Amino acid sequence: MRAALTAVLGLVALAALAGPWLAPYDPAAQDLALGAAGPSAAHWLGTDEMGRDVVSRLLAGARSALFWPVLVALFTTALGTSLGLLSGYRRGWVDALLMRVVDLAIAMPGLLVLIVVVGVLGGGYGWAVLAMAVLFTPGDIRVVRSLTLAQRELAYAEAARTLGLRPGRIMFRHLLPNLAPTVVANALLSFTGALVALAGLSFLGVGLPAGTPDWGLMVEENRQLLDLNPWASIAPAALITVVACAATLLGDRAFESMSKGGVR
Amino acid sequence: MKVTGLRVTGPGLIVDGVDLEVSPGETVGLVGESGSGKSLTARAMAGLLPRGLRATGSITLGGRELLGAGERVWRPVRGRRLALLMQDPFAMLNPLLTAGAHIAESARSRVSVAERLAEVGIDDPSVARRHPFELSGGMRQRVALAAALAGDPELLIADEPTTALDATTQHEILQLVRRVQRARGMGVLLITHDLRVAFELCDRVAVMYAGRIVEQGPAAEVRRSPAHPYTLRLLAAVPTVERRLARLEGIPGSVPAAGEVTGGCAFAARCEQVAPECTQARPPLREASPGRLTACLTRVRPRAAVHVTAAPPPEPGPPVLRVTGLSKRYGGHVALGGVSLDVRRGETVGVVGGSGSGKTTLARCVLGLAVPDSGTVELAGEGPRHRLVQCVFQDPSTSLNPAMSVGAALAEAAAQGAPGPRPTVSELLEQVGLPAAYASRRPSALSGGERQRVAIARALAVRPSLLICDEPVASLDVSVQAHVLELLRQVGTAMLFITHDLAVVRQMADRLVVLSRGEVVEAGEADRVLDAPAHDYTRTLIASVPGL
Repeated sequence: MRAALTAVLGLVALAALAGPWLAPYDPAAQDLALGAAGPSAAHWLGTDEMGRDVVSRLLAGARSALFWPVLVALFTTALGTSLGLLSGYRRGWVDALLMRVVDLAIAMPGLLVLIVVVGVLGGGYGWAVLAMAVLFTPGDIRVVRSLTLAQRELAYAEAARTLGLRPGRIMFRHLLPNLAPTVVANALLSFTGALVALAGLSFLGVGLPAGTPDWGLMVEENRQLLDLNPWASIAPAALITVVACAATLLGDRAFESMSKGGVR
Repeated sequence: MKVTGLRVTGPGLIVDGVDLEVSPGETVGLVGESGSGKSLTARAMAGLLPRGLRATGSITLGGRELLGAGERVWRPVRGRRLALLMQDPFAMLNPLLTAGAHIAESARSRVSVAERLAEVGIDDPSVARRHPFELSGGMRQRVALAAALAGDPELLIADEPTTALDATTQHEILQLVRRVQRARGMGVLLITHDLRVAFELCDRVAVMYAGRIVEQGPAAEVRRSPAHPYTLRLLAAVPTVERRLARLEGIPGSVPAAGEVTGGCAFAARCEQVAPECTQARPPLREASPGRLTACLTRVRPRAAVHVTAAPPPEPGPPVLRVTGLSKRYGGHVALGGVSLDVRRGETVGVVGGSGSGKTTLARCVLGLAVPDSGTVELAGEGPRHRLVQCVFQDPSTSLNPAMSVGAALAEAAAQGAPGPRPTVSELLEQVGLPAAYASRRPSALSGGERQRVAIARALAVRPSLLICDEPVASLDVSVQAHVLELLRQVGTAMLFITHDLAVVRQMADRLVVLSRGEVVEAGEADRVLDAPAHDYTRTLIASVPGL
């Protein structure tokens, strides 16, 4: 099972790295004569309205499908884990302040904020990704904080304090490794969340500029072709689903295998 | 209940052919150290083996075969015919249900909850309306017992029922179990690692080692003349409250897994009177004399009494710790109400008291983990607190970071010491009697005793002038306890030794402070306090130590 999950994500990662070389056609090359043709030997999943090869566009889209969610996951995990550790370990006013900020952030309707940010800042995709990362972080802070609160009371954390170790060392060298299973699982969940949410933004037309080879955008743009070439929109939608499921399940597995032998 | 040829297998063999019988009105003790398979034997007998483990053999209750029976067969048996009492009453009771609800839930006759509570010595009927967290440990275990008895079972399986309780409460609960057992004529199977507890309560005792019963017989006879060298060594390892032994003798080595024992006596590697035939075939459980079974081929020779004159108590040096008028409250609860004591260089001061006496709060205040409300803690010497005082915590399985190798933990601790020459990891390991190769291991790859040695090495790494030991052997097996206590005796650092176990403190302390409800009720030379206690509380503590 785990091997299968890793294989799915590995293939997508390969496509992201080597997509342009693997693609049978230029993903942007139009052949209007071929417009919206069904699958054939030349075009395995057919073409879209502009006669662009669907397989090539899927391969080209793997890069943005992986790159931006990985960025979101790294950002939220790094920031969420650090602030969560700080909040749970320090407690007191640091904790109170951070938790109120977190409450506020969680109370905001995420998708609306994203649409407004993208709208006001004029379609800069980087801004949308940044806004999403910031919106995802409070959840991570909460989870890591609650685990930290439990771990800091355990005897090994007290022993570390008795040794006079600096708080930073206790947090990152002693507590963090024991939170690792949750942190890793959380990072994969953030990846999945970002992948689906970014695809949603593209579908709503507030993400990337039209014409970019992007899975979410392909679902939206080829929606009208369902009767001519259904694969043009079903294939990217299926890919999003498969990659999202694989990442979530892999997170589950990683959590289980990593939490064996830790302190309960 | 009759068990024949019980084998429990998981990833490896765990229980290897156990035969055991409990008759109505009889109390049988199943004694063994961790890894002996005693708890899984008990769980198999209640049909509650954890997932992934399989039992074969036969378990019959009143002639009916239960092994391999489905849940539909087990459900009316559990509670009604056999009941289970477990170690941690807090984990066993549902925190959302009141004490009365627990009892009413398993009751089948119309006897009222108040009567059930009265049977376990709770005369206050309002207890029925309280939740587990509103009750003390002893009260919770009484409620758990009342709930276990509510279905009027024929057999009670008690798995370490008093291990989590302090000495006085342990004594009360054991007396209570005995009283109830006599009154009801019920069979009791007591699972324990503590020989003293087994002898106090049981008619018959079976000793388990590496998945097999190695000795069985009437409690009094086993105590007087053990028929297996393992029992003999276990008895020798139990500390006594009566006098300070010059040398504490543990058993070298550790318990092998049942699956690792191939053709030979499992104890042979650790046995003093091992003979060539011991390693050739697995010795069967044979009848040594009527009613006495042993798995030893030879007659057990009593060990020669070791007469080593105890080292004279150290010359009292200047004080390294002086605590004056220390008090600490948690909400309305007074944890410490003005405690004063001092520890001088080279001596060990024992702090004893039941749970809630404030002994751990005292340690935390000295370590700087808690801030006292008033009073002072003075530590002799220069430098930050962590170079003057270190601590060995109770449970080494949580006090060592599971994600950190032994070497990394020790190196980190040594780096916290005063500038100048610092001990290396291998020096530290050698000091606590562990091979240098252990540096690369994780705590999970060590036994309980080895972990506690690492924890001691970590505490000594900064070369503190005072070592606080907070129940350092409470979570360890008897045979390992002796090794760890002997190691601590040789350390030579001034020690504040906190324990609820008077037998242990007798072996360790030069002076003794008795705490009760946050106050010092008695203090003085350890021998004087234990031989001629002046305070009633001290007398109660001494009276409740199970004797050997």
